[in-house]
Amino acid sequence: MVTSLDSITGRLKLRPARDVPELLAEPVRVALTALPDQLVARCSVAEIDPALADTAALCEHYQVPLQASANCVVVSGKRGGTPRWAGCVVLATTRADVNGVVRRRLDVRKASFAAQDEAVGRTGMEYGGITPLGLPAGWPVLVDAAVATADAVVVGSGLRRSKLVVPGAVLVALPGAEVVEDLGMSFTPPRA
Amino acid sequence: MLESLDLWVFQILYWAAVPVGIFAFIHAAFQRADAYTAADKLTKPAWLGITGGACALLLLNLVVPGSMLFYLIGLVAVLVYIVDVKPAVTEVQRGPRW
Repeated sequence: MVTSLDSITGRLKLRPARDVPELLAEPVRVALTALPDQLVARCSVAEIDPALADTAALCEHYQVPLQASANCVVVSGKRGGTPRWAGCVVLATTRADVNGVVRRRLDVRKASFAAQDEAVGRTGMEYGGITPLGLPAGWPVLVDAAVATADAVVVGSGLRRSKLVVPGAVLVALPGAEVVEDLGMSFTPPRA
Repeated sequence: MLESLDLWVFQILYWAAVPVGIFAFIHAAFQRADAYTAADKLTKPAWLGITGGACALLLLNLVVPGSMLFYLIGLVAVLVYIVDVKPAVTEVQRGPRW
């Protein structure tokens, strides 16, 4: 996959992520500093209008192709009365297979999206800005194979007023990261 | 008066179906799109189309006499959404119960 950075970042004004820590939520900043230097150097951040933090609005306004944007959803399930959590990263052109791949990986009877207040409370990130970087320790970070191999994807920064642009390799290097084939289910082609 | 009682009952059923259909459509519109995939249902646009189309059929039945077949089709579509899709989509967005 050879794509120039410009073609995927549209009208986002990128700056090196390590130069503008104020555009990152606290847990995200911590996660970045724990990464190897050569990976951090490939992470950029862009300030955005917080009203446009949701994927569809972001992609339209800043002319970011949907397939260059990755969503991070927080999934939870329960096993023997104990809750289990995971972050799932899929391209915006796909949707997480919550009750297939994710449910089996978490080994729970039923998996669901975490309620908004739970997701926000446990991650310390703003809703609409939740990102795989800096999720609580011990959470698996399931990364769809298409995200893992991407040269650059737009993900959250933990805040609504900015986005991170990172190579898939950064997400794969996160603690707890696992590359999962078929995590994202495509919904653009017709499906019965 | 009494011999037309059955007609009245049908009239009530015809009218009552419309708000139920509108409720289903509005409910479908307010769910997050990826919840439908997570619950193994058709996509959100598909269900918006189904419930929206069903509303149109239910309304059609009120204005065009003799379109009872359309009424039944619309009603079945709306009820499938309400008894099958709605609970599944709601549950997958709720997080585990404590």
